[in-house]
Amino acid sequence: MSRARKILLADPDAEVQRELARALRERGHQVSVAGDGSRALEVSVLRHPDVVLFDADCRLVDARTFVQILRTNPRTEDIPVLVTGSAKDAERLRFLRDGFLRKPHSLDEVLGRIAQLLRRVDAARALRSETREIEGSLKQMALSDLLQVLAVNRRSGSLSLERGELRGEIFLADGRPVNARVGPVEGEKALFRILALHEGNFAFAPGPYAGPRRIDRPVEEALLEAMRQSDEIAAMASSLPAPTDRLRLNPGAALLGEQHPVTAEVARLLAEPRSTSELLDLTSAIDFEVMAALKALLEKGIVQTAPADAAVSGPLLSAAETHSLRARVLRGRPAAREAVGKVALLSESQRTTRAFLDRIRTLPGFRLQRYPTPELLGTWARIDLSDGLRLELCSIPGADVARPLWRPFAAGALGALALDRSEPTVALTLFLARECRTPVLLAGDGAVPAALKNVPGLAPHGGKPIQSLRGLLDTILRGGLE
Amino acid sequence: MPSARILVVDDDRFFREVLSLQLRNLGHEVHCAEDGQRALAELEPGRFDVVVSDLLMPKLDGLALTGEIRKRLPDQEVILVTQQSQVATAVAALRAGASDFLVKPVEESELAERLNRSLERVALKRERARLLAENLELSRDQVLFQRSLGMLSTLDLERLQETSLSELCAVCDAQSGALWLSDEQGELHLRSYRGLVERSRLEPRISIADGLFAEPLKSGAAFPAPGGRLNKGFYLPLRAAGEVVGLVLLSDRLSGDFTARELALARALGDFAATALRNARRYSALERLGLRDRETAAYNLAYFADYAAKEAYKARRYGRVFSLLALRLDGLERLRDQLGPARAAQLARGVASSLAAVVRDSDVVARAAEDELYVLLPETDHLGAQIVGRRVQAMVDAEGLLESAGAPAVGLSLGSATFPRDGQDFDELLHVCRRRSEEARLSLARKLDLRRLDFWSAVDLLLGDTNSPPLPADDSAGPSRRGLLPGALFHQLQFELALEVARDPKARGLLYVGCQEIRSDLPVIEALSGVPADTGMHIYLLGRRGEAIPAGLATPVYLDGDERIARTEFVLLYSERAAYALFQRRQKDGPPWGFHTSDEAVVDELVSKLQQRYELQPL
Repeated sequence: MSRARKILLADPDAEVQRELARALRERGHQVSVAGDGSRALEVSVLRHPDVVLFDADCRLVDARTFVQILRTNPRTEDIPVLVTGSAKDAERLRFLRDGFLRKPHSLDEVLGRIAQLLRRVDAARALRSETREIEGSLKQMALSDLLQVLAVNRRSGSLSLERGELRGEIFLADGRPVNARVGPVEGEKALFRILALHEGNFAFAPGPYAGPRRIDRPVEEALLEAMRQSDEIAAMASSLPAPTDRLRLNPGAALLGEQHPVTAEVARLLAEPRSTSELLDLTSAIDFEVMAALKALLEKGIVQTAPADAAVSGPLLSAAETHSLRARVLRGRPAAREAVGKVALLSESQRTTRAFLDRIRTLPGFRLQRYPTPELLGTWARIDLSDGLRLELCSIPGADVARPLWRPFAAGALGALALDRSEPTVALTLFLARECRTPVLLAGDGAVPAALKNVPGLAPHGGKPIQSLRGLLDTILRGGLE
Repeated sequence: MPSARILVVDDDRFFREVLSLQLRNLGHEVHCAEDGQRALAELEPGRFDVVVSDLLMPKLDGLALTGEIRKRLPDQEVILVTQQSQVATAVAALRAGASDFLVKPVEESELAERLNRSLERVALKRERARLLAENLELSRDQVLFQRSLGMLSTLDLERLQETSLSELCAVCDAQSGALWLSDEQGELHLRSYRGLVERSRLEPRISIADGLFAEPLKSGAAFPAPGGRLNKGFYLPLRAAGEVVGLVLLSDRLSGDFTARELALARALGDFAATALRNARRYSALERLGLRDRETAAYNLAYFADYAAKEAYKARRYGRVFSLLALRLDGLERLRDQLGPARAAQLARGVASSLAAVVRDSDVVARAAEDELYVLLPETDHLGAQIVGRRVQAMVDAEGLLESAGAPAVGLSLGSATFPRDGQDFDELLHVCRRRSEEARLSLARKLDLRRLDFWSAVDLLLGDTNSPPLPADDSAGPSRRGLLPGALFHQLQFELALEVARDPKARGLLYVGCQEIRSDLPVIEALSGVPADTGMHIYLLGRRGEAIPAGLATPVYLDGDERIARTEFVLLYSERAAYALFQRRQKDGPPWGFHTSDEAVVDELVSKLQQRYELQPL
């Protein structure tokens, strides 16, 4: 917590008061105390605390009246009041806006709740003072200038950049880049990939950064390094494969001798065919090093390229369908800015799931978040259908040992695609269709297994991955219209 | 003869002036136009009593002009003047719609007579129009009165909400409207809306006694929306017998602004609506009293089913939720066989009265059989229903109802179902409710009697070790598994659960993550960055103090020196959607040994025990 805050404790119990006051002062807050409601009211008006902790046992003015008086005065109406009391009081005090804490309470939780309220007050103030995000195009302001300006002003927040399908974020804390993310890639690797952008749009959203710190480099150094890399990449551009080209090891060629770790990683990953962009995402080294290694391997003939087969496809849903799917996702919820629908991918194999994602990559708005892991529990990709609607593709593990996970992770799913016909997948499919009444589409080839015949809410679909996904959304939309 | 306003149309300046002179001599007010086009430009409804026009004019002649005038102003009197007296012309003029016909040169007496006849017709027409308007007003008032009577004779509250709003909209041509009704606690609740209003912009609850609406509600007069004007849209308080019954919002008039008369009409109709709503509410209260089961004061199932069907309709229409809670007394049958029906009835009565003490005024309790009770909880989600269930259980325990020496054991199984999550109609919900109460009966929590244990003993019992016998788990009660778990599961699970929160930030629930050390690179923190702090899910991290974590995302509970938590990692999720628990212990080599379950009763027990153990707040 950066700034000292004024906190008022109103509690007739001197023991509780002392303990809390000490803990709060240790955290650098200014604490005032009051023994009854009337005194608390006086302090609130005179000193305008940032938060009031009010005990329901206070005499002279009770909690309800206290809150009402504060709310009717424009000077004090925005002061959050956290009321404490016994479980008995909780029933009576359900009207409270800022919450109620039952005694006995954990000190950590009281502090946590106060921190949360302070954060809300700050957010409300920030909104009022209209700290607008900075937005613009990189044509007007180069990324390097932008980062330097933010560094000089020691700003914290996230800088997001967008060019076509590529969307990335750089997280800043006190002006220094601390993390970056592009799809499934994080840290320096992502930072250098973003810094190579010369066109596109940016938006800066101020706010504290909470996540892990994966970058430790001053801005100037990062910018210089990025420039060097982009020069070198430009020099070897002609001999590099296109992002969608498929790469594989030449079966005839043998790798000999001690290899550079990056080269070894590239060779290991190419044991099965992958596209260039997938290879770049999967390697841990930064893109520049991977490209250098790849160039060497291509020149030696150890790696071969084949052109991509996939053609770019049209949007998944029409505007009207997107709208009604959004309504379906938000059913029973207050309208949020962005609705997120979850689609479950059912398969026992990491490879099948990965292949499925790879084959729907050409969908507009598709973004890979991370590559499927062997446990098959996770969110792998998102598809932005419109500004207000996003689909997320997740796996639910079908293995029997994972069975307790079925219910919690199936609960929010709009629908599911069964990617294979293995026993665990069939069991999970049956569970989703029967117990959760979630529509499931049997994607890919293969006959309908006997166990799944005559199950309601289940449809076979023998098309290509994109068509299966489209078919599932159709089923969901039809169900939503009933 | 009174003075009239006359338009003279003639292209010949001489005749125009002669005619004007003659007319002025007769005491009329005269206006001239040189041709048909200009005459048309001058004409407005009611501006001239009579038009006197020449028949022969260039461009637009008298006949064409008359035709045009007929089209625009059907009631306008037109007299045509022509050079020669020809029957054919006269007929043509009259057919075109002229009311009379004069021949040049015009004699003054002739002119006066024709003009007088024309003016008489004008006066008659005006009189007729006035009478018609009066009549219309009378019949409109009568229709309003009929509608008011119609409202007063309706006793079905649900229907009345809809009809009174639509009548109020109709009476002042409002395209949009919303209706709030008061409850026992002095709050207005949104009950109905129609037209162009967006539900998210309407206040779901309005306090009567304080807040923005207090003053205008007290006065009873219509008032504008804050920052708006009265004739664009207005709120109308509904008051009957001195108390506020409801509030109506009317806006988006078909075209233009609301008139003062429409405001008055709305107010008059509003008084009737208020009385009708008050009557309907009293009637339904009375009706409920009559349908109670005498013994337990619960309703009979027929009434309950009917009520629940209405509740389902309302919930669907207004996007609300409600829950059904089923209570079953397992083993009551056996008790009856052994100790007689009187003892069984006494026990059932005791449970019903415990239930009655816990539920709110708006909840409806029904009895399907002696050992089977149902509660309908309006505006309550799955978690809310579970909390009510827990309270009933606590009450029954406190009264010691189920334990009596020498009697066969009787258990209480609770199950709940929530609209729309679990089903779309009453039968479906009832089915889910029964299934859940059956699950509760088969639950591991009941089999292992977890209630008697404290948090860590329960965890130890569930975790066991490699030598423990298999758990008496039943997959139909929510599956549980014990054994070696994948090493990365704990990490991925945290991440994925936090993403679930991000996907639906409004979903209510509790998530506890127990870890060895609280650090900012915990997967749950990482996945939450960018999610607004005021999620419906309360997230707690329990463990040793590591580095500080960002404020607001989750509540850290520092447990330094607690060796139990240092040895056992866990995730407990209890939300309106799902319940899940995982406990695991790391081993020196190889994957961790763990237990995980989605048995709701087990998770429920563990969550409340954890809250007790570490003095954490319930939801």
